[in-house]
Amino acid sequence: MSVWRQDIVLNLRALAGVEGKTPGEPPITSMGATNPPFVEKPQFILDHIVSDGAQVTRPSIDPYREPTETEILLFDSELRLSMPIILGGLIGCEPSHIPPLLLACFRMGVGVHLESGQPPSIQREIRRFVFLEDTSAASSTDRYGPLVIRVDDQKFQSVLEALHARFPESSQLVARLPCYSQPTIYVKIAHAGFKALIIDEDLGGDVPLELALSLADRALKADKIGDYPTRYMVGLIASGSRIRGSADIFKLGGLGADACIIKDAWRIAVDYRQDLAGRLLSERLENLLIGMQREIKLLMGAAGVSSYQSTIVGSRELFRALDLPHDILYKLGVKPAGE
Amino acid sequence: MKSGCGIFGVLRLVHSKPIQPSVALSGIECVRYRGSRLGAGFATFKLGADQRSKVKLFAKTEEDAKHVYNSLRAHLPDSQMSQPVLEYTPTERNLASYNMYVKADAIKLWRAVQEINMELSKDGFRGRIYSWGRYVDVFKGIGYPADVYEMYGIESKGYQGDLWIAHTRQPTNSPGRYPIWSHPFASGDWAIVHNGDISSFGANMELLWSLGYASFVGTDSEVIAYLLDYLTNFQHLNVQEVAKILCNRFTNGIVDHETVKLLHRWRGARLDGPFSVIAGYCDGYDVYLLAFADRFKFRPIVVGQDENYVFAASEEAQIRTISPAARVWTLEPGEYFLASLKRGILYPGRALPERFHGLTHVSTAKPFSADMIDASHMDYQKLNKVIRERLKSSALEVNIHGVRGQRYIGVGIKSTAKLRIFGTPGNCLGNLNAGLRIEVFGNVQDDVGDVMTDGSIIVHGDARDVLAQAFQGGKIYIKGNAGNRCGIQMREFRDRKPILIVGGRVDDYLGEYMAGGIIVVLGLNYLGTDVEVAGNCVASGMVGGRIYIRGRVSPSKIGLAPPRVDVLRYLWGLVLEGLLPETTYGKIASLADFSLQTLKGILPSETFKAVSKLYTSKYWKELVSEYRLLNNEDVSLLGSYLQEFAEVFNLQEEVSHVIRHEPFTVIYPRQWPQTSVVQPEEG
Repeated sequence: MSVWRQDIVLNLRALAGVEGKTPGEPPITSMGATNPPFVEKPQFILDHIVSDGAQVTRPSIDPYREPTETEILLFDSELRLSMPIILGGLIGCEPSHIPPLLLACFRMGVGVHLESGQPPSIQREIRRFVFLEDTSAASSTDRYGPLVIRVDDQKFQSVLEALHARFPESSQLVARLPCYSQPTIYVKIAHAGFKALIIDEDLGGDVPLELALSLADRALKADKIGDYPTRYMVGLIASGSRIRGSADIFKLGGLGADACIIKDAWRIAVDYRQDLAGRLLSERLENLLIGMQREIKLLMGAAGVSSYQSTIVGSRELFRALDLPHDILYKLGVKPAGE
Repeated sequence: MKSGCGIFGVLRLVHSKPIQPSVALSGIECVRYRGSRLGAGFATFKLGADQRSKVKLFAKTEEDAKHVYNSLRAHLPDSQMSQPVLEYTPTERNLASYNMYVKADAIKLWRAVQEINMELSKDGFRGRIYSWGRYVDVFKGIGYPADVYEMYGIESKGYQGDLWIAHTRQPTNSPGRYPIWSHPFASGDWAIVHNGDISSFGANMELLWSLGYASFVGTDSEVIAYLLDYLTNFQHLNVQEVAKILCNRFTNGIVDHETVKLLHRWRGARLDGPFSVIAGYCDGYDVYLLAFADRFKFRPIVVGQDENYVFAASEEAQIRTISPAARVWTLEPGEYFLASLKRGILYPGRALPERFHGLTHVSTAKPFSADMIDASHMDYQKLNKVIRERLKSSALEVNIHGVRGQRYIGVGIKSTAKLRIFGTPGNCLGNLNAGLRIEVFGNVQDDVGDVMTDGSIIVHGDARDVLAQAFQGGKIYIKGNAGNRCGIQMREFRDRKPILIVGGRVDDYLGEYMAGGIIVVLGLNYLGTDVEVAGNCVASGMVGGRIYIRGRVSPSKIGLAPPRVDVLRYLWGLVLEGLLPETTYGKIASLADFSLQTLKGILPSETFKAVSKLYTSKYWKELVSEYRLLNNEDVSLLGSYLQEFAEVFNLQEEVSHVIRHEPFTVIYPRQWPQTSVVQPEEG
């Protein structure tokens, strides 16, 4: 079964303006849905997780008329994303598409993850939003934005040693690593001076993204630097090709992700092709991001939440699980529905 | 407005006498209807020289209480301790309360309490330590406040304090059968009472777990006590910083980077969802009363002051019970109020101290006519019954004095008679009013004139939140200030057109979802200043009618605007792409405030179209806002009402000055050309 169910694709394309006539507008929703796990077949742990709804004593919030904050602060408040989204999966894009993509992301205040390293030229203000993969020694002198370093449990020690020599304390260092079931690795990375962690399912690992993320969140919360819980000093970013849109981002948020890297989702949404005009590409991407931000706000509003990073991120109490075995529930820290 | 839970707090100022417990009792029993039989409580604070902590616990049996004593001994081997003393004998099968005195280091004691509480609920619940402060004493149980008061013999044992807080409970998140779920919740020398249902509960629990908190009774209220205690006593943040973190104001307006960092660093302590909280605290040098409200102000809270006391309460009537002459005002959304025994009011709960305009209180004058109704000992059902009886005997005028918190006055009374009210009527005054002419000499509380279709309500003082909701006919005139969400969902129908005039200022969400009628905010108490007399999100979701606000209203406060930083960054992106001249960007960035309407006047049409999508959606309707003097059309629309307003309150001079010389911000939705008259749907 494909990750990309027809209704998911249709919704993403409608947001981007590829389908339909109302780009950037989430479709009208209601209670009850054809979503997994009851109607459609569940594919991932995320499909078993549902969001709590506001009830009588806790009013819902109408995000079209009242403020709902989706902003995310990273690197000790030095970077502000307007929503919990980072664009990734740019490898294989037509080179002439990179500048319009970067510009669109900058304008919308979302991050961009560039796995392929330094692009030919990049304005400094845009650079602040670019999570640049450290593929060359040249980037070690670049202090204008986040630097991403690949880390795995074997390479960990050597990377750490090399880091101390290369980077000043103030660098916005980000570790990108596979989905490990061993929580101590996340703590070690945080203590090594990384200010954010990207847990990337596409790098492999021994557990699904949901579990790795939740374990990392809880491990960093149990750990302290000084008398302050490490988690609140280190950003957590979830990444995976199968992150399908706002609902997945929102649920991953509940399991601890400050932000998520979307890859295939945006490409499908904008109907990415090598011959797409740059202007059209950035317009579709902006529509998609506005639409996703609105969807996130609607989800927050339905749960009576007005502040994403402080109230949703890691807030398992706002979620419940359906049909998941006990050991998984325990690792996620999510209660079964009805409790 | 939902009326779950009642809260109350009273602090003495240093020159006045210690506060008797009966004061706290009358302050909370006054809103008995906000609570239920399922839980109530009190806490008192007293600055003193006693270095011992008073450890209080609920236990199933005397053996369990002894067990806690022994455990504490084991955890704190060097401490002096007294034997547990029974505080009251419980009703069948419920928990008894015990207290004992312990001399120990505060942090060591906190650790011991954590561990003992965990152990006590490990294999079936045996009890719980619920308070361990040096200056605070908590009395809580099952019942109404008066029951708990009696149960502990609070009065007979002669407790008096510098500060009292009290609570009556309407349980929502946990059952009320055990007193462990009753308020106040205490931690160290903090105790809090809370009305609300915080949506950040999960996030707050995650922070507390990570800080080593391991034992909870499971309500959202107890986390508030723990967070306050932790941030002040373990992190040594000052009370005002901590209040800012928990209140969690919308960050859009916060520009100071240090505050942004503080809020972000302690984001796990920020509260979301509806709450109003009254907290007491003693740091060993001073005693504090802290009251705070959520960012939307979804729960009621008022504060007050007279020469001896400072108050905080769910309803003004509570304060009036104790101090008929107090000055009472309300908090701004997302704000806190802080006062201390030695220093008085430290922060008033508003960016600017309240300026009063109407009557600040009602004199306890004797009735001016023999047939005046004395409401002082009537509940609201009785009062409405008496009014109805008077009207049956074809009275054209009914005068009532001694009104204090009776709700629903005038509801369900079909008449065009005049009702004069002296005192503080309770919530929901004149709801569904279809003809009564109500005049109030004093302040009114929440939810006045809801779904009113005809008649009038004239208030010589202030009004609180949700005034004139779904108001659809008749007149509402307020001499003083009004609170949050005034005139929301106002509408008009055929020849029925409601008018709301406020003489003072209003808070957020004025005219939200408004569909018809007229709102005027005169801000007479701020004439000659540049203070804006309306809060944020004015006219958000407005689709009909008109709003007139005296003076300027920042464009970004009209409707719902995206964060300024997001708009400016978007525009800078257009500069980087060469689509917008840098000078144009600079012009916009240098504006203190702007709206989509402002941008329309500055940006070329292509770039305006691009940035518009941050503001608009398919549910968005364009609002026109004009800053100008009233014109002839306005005067013919408003003139007679304003004149009447001026006469009623004897404000002719001010009002005529304002009509002629003061500019207004006029807000209305842009109408599409009408093609045909829409017929109302039946059914």
